[in-house]
Order: sequence, then structure tokens, then C-alpha cells
Amino acid sequence: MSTGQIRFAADILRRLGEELNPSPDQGIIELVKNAYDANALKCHIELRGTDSPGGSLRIIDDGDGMTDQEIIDGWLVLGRSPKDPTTPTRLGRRPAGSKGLGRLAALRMGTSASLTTRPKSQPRIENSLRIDWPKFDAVKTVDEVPLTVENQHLDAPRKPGSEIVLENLRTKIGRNDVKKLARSLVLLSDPFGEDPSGFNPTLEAPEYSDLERLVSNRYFDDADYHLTAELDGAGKVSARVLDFKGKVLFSAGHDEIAVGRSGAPYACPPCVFDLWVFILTQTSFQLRSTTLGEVRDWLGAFGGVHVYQNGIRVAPYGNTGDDWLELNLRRVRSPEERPSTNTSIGRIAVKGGEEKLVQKTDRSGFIETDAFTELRAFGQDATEWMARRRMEQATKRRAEDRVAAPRNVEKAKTEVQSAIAKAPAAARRQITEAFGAYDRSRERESTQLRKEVQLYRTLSTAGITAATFAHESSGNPIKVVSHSIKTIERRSKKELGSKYEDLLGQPVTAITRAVDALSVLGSATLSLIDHDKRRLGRVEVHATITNVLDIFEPFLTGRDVVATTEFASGKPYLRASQAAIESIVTNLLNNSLTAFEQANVPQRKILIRTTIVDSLVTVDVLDNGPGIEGIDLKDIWLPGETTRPNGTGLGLAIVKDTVADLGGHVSALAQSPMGGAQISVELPILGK
Amino acid sequence: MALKIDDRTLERIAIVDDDKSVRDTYETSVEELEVEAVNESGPLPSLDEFVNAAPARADAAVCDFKLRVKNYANFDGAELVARWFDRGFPALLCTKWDRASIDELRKYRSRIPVLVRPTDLDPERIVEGLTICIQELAGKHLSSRKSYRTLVRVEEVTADRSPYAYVVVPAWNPSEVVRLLMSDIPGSIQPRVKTDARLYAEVNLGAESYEDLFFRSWEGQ
Repeated sequence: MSTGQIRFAADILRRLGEELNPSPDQGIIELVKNAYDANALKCHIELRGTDSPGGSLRIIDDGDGMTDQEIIDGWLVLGRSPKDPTTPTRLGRRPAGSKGLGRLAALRMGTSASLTTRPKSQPRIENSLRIDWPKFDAVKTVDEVPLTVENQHLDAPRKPGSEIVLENLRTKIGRNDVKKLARSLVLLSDPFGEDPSGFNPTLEAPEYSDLERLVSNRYFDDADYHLTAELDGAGKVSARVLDFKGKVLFSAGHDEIAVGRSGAPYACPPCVFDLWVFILTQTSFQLRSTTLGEVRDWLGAFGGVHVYQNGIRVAPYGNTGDDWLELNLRRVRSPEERPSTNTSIGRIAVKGGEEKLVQKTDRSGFIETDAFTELRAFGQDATEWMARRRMEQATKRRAEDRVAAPRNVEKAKTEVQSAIAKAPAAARRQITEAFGAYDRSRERESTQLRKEVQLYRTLSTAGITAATFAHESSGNPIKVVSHSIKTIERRSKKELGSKYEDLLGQPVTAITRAVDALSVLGSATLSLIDHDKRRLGRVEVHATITNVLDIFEPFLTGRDVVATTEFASGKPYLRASQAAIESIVTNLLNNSLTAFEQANVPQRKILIRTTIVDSLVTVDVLDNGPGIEGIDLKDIWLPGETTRPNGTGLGLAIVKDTVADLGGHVSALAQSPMGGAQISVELPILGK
Repeated sequence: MALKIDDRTLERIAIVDDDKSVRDTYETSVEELEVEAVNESGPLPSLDEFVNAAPARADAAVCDFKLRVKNYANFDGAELVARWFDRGFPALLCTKWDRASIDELRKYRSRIPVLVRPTDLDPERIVEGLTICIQELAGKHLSSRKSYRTLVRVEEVTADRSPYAYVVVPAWNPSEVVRLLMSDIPGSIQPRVKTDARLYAEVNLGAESYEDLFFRSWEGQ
């Protein structure tokens, strides 16, 4: 019988070292976390000659050190952590280090690694160990290289602590790496909280002291808004937004914040999310002791939302380019009152939850489990809630501005008048007259605008009501009538046989047609408000006209109107929203349909004709109604101008505005060759 | 009397709709098949309860999509029919076919074999639809209902309160954009749903039209 064991090829050390070490700063941070776990208060890092390969790196801490047995059974064992992450250390810290894999990766950075350590429990003992990596290249399996821990008895007791020296570094640690390392160190042990762990890692590099100074500045008090959201053990959130004086502006409970998920709890460990949002404008900084530039630099260095698990940072969340809550994306889509990573800084502090939020082996963040997705959703929902409340505030402010505006106008007017009074007598009259004329025309304009806004509101309300009833009308009553008439048809055909057509054929067909017409009313209204139609994109003019005519077909038939098209060859298209083109065609059709009510014509006809010249398409809508009468041709485009008692006078105004938005223009003929009105819309196209 | 479809005998068909007059009209169609109609008058209990309650008194069901408008049920017909499918109970889902409804029921579509327009619900269509359901429950899928792992390309993602993902399934129709509710895509995949992203999912590539498509087993690349 022979027994064997699984052994590891020496090459595996190299592979693990390379693959688990995404960047030098990450590797060094792993060694620093070891010092944190050993209850160190200080941890100092020195880099020597590292701007080219071959340099050295030293990490010294004042932690609890290790006995020879702890080195052999813990420090040298890969893949298993002797530290239970849920049991606090002597200083009440939750162990943050990985299972030795990150440490291996870091130790492999040089050709040799030496450890010198004095255990707290043995003040007169100093243990040392040296690992020469080339020795591993000469053997087949890892266990063939013996590693010896030397014990030295000291004459006098010395303070505990450990020192790791990595020599002959394989790659350089460039300026950028040093910067990243400095930032990682500064952020490692939650610098946001009021009660830091007391752990203070330092780096002997100018980049570090600059950043350290910067982080200690803590400009949190300059934030215009401070969101603080707390997630409890039951996954329920509560949040408040404070202003710069610490006064509560908004507060809300779970249902309001989690409204998008119907109040479902967040399935992730309890945590606290703080986000400080800054309004970076010169005016907002005018009365402060800090300058805009200082705060901007500070946010540039540390901005973003960082994640801390048990007080220690989990990279890369909040790193430059890692906008894991998609703040920037959301701001781009809807800029008003939303923070970006350049105007805000924050942290989500998670307590415990190591079993749910598990960090990846290569320390590049959490494994994307449901718990992590939920954590992200919590962060996003809280920021969205703040954005909604801020929007509400902005809307209120605008309403107040509207009230204040006329007062301001009056004040300005008085100022102008008193200025005129000081002008030389000869000029005074002329200026007064000119100002009077200006004031009257401004007054006319604002009256006009007010009228227009009121009309738009009225019509929007009518539209909203129609859409609401569209849901109703295409709903149950129609379902019942339509289904029942089919049953009547089926059963009576069976019972009456050949007598059916004579007795019931005509009324059954009439009901079926009537129901079809009714149900179209609902779907036509609803199809106009379909969400997709408001997206900008390529819109084909002919297809859109045909589509509107299809929707209108039952109404046209119901009103004895025959609509025909004469399209130019080709498929002219432009970049617009389908809703815009539809609203032009719909309003022009409505216009013709209502015109027919004003006069008797033997056969009601509408013609939609297109012509293409160069990069312009002209859409003419002609009818054989009474034409435009009783109103000046140029006034038909004015909102509120109508010749019908119950007309809104908005249809053609909307057409004109929409066409203007698309860069085109409109014209009208009171009497076209067909006898009725002709409205022409000219639109620039992208192609045909 | 009873209706025989394959190896099943249908003696009673449950009718689920929040409007009594609609239920009564559906009842006429069911009774023409000489099958007893079980008029589910409501208010219905919780979804979990009703999923088991109805099959205890009927052999199949005709169910409307919108059940929440009145004080009838606190769930939608789509979820109910899908849950019934899981426990082997055949049911037809009635819907108006508008895009908003299709969006809402898409995530259940792989477990809803047949959609019927309310106005089309005559005895013939009931038999035809239930036959498809029963066969699918027995593992016999129509070619339009078989799903295959395929590439899904994201065209655009909107940032509304309930965001949409606009996707193209080239193997189904390279020129038709399909709108999906972002919330229908699993949470772990959502961060990868971005403009121009390519993902994999199982899709019924034989689907004849937009409303028949379903997506499941999403994978991020």
C-alpha cells in the first residue's frame, strides 16, 4: 500500500501572487490590514528606490506581534484565516485581513521577504523569518523549501510589534501607484466618522502628507445637504436630509423611500449611509471661510461613495471611475438637484454581515450577490428620495419666484421712472414715450403668455381625463357587449338556421360595428400617450401619417369623411419624437373634421399630400370644407383664437410650435383648390 | 357531460374576472361546451391561498389579466396563471393586448401558454387554448414556445422611475426592438444592462410576434 498527498507545485505561488495582486497599492493595503488586525495603532510604510525595479519596501507596526507558533500555524498558512471575522480583537476591532492570500501576493512583490516580530506575550523574544522566493523556483513542490523561525532572546524587554521588509522589488512603484496607495491608506480606516478606530497608517512620501492634510480638513460642515439614511436589521430604511446648519429639511420612513419597490425590505445587513452634497458655485461660497477651490480639490481627491465594513474600507467602491451607485449617470439623465461624484462625498458603513456581503478573493469588492445588489438599491433609493424632495423644494421656490416676479417688475419700473425724471427735460418726454411703448408691449406679451399657459393646462386636463376614460371605455362594458353579441350571433345561427340573416343579421352586424368604433376611441387615445412615442429617434413621415390615419379610420368613417394620401416617392425621415409628428397630423385632421361641422358638402374629403424638395418635406393637409372664414389668416396660429363656440384654439397653435421646434415652418391657404382650407407644414429631413 | 382534451377530462372551468357581468358572459361560452362554469365571485383570498383553492373546485380556468381594478383581488391574473402552470393546472389568460399589459406580463410569459383577447373568447377558442395549455403541461411545446439560449443586445436603457431596457434579439428579428421592464431582469444582471451590452438569455425564438416573446435564464457576459 502506498499513501500520497496533494501537494502544490512551486509555480502555484507565482500564479497566485500575480493573479491575486491587482495592483501594488492593493497588496500593500493587505499587509496594513494585517497590522490593523494585530491591534496596531501605528503602521508606517517606507519606500526606498521604488521608482524603478529593485527597490525595497518596509512596513513597521506597533501591534501585538506573533509567537513562533503563530507564525507557523497562522502567518504561513494560506487559504485559512486563524482570525474569526465575527470575534472582535483585543481593541474591539473586527478582523479585516483576507485568508493569507492577499498577504502572499504582497510578500511576492520582492525576491525576498523578511519578518521580524516581538509578541506581546513574550516581551524578551524576537522572532524572525526570511523567505527567499528564488529557492521556490528550484524545487518541484512548495513544501520542499524549509522555513525556519529564529528566536532571539533580548537583554531588555522591548515593545511588541512587527516589521516586514520586501527587498529587490520586481516592479517599480510609480508616482501614480504611490498616489493611489496614499489615498487608500488615508481612506482605509473610516475617516468620516466622529469616532475613528485610532488606527493610523502613515506613508513616508510627500504625496501622503499632502493627502493626509487634505483628508483631515473635513469640509463636511460646508455641505449644503447631508443625507443620512439608516437601514435596520429588518431591512427597513429611515432617512433625513439636513441643511448646512444641521437643521432637518426632509425626513421619511421606509415606505416613502422604498416606494419604487412597493415597500419591500432591503435584504442586506444593517448599515448607515451618509452623503454630503455640495453646491459648488462662487455665490454659494461667498460668505464662507473656506474657498470653493479647497472644497473642490478635497472632493476631487476623496469624492464618491465609499463602503466600510466593520470600519475598514472595501475597495474599489468610491475610487476614481467607480461610480457604483451611478450618481453621475443619473445626474446626466436628470440633472436638476442631483449630486455627482464631483460634488458629493459619502460612505456606507456596514456593521457585520460578513456571511452575506463576502469580499472577492482578489479584494476587488464584494461578490455580486443579492445582498450586494440590495445594498446598492438601498443607496440608490436613498439618493433618489433626496433628489425627489429637492425637486419638490425647487418647484416650490419657482412658484414663489412667480409670485415675486410682478413685484420685482413694479420695483424696476419705479426705478426706471425715477431715472427718467433725472434726465434732461428735452430728452425726458421722448424717453417716457419710448418706455411707455415698451411697457405696453411687454404687458401684452405677458398677458398673452398667461392666456396660453392657462389654455395648455385646460387642454392637458381634458387630455388626461380622456386618457383615464379611455381605460374605462375599452374595458369591461365593451367586453361584455362584444362578447354577448357574439354569443347571440352564434346561438341564434344554430337555432334559427337560414332564418338568422333575415331576422337578426342586420342588427347584430350593426352592434358589432358600433362596439368596434367605441373600442377604438379608447385605444386611439391611449396610443397617443404611449411612453415610447416621446423618445427621440428616427421618425418616418409617411409611416407616421399612415399610422394616424389608421387610428382615425373609424372616426372618419363615422363622420362620412374619406381621407386619401398622395405621397412623394421615398421615405422621408427626420430626428424627432413620434409624438411630435403625430400631434401635427392629429391636430390638422381634427381641424378639418371640425370644419366639416360648419358647412354642408356632398362628399367630405381630406387629402394629405407630401412633396420633397432638396432636404425639405412639405406636408399639405387639404379638405373640401368651408375654408377659413371669419378670422384673419395670420391669427389662426394664435393660441385661444377659434371660430367655434367650444373650440380651444390650441390645435393650430400646437402645430405651429411643434413645427418650429423641429426647425420647420407653417403656412395656410383660406381656400385651397379642393375648396376648403389648406395647411402646409414644411420640415427639414435627414434623408428620404 | 364533460370536455375531453388529451388524457384530461374537464368537468368544471373556473371563471376569474373582477367584473360580475364579464364573468357572466364568459359563463355562457363555457356552458356551450357543456362544462360547468365555476363563477369565482370574489373577493379572492391571497394569491398563495387561491392558487390552491381554485383547482380544488375546477379542472381548468379562464382568467382575466387585470384583477385589481375593483376590490376583487390583490394580484394580477398573469402571476396567478403562471403559478397555476407550475402546479399543472391549465388556464387561459385574457388580456387586451396593449403594450403596457404585455410589458407587465412578460416576466410570466414563459409560464403562460396562451393569451386570448376577451372578445375572441368563444367556445372554440377556449377548447383550442386549453388544448395548447394541457399539451405544454405535458411537455409538448409548440415550436413558438420552445426557448433557446441566444444573444440579446441592449439598444438603450431609460432612466425613469420604472426604467425600460430596449433590446434586440438578432436570432428572432434583427430589426425589431423589444421593450422590457428593467425590473423583470434579475438584479444580479441589471448592472450589466447598458447601451450596447451583449447578454445571453433563453428566448422562444419561434415566437410569431412581440407579445409572445419571453426571456429567462439571463446570463451576463
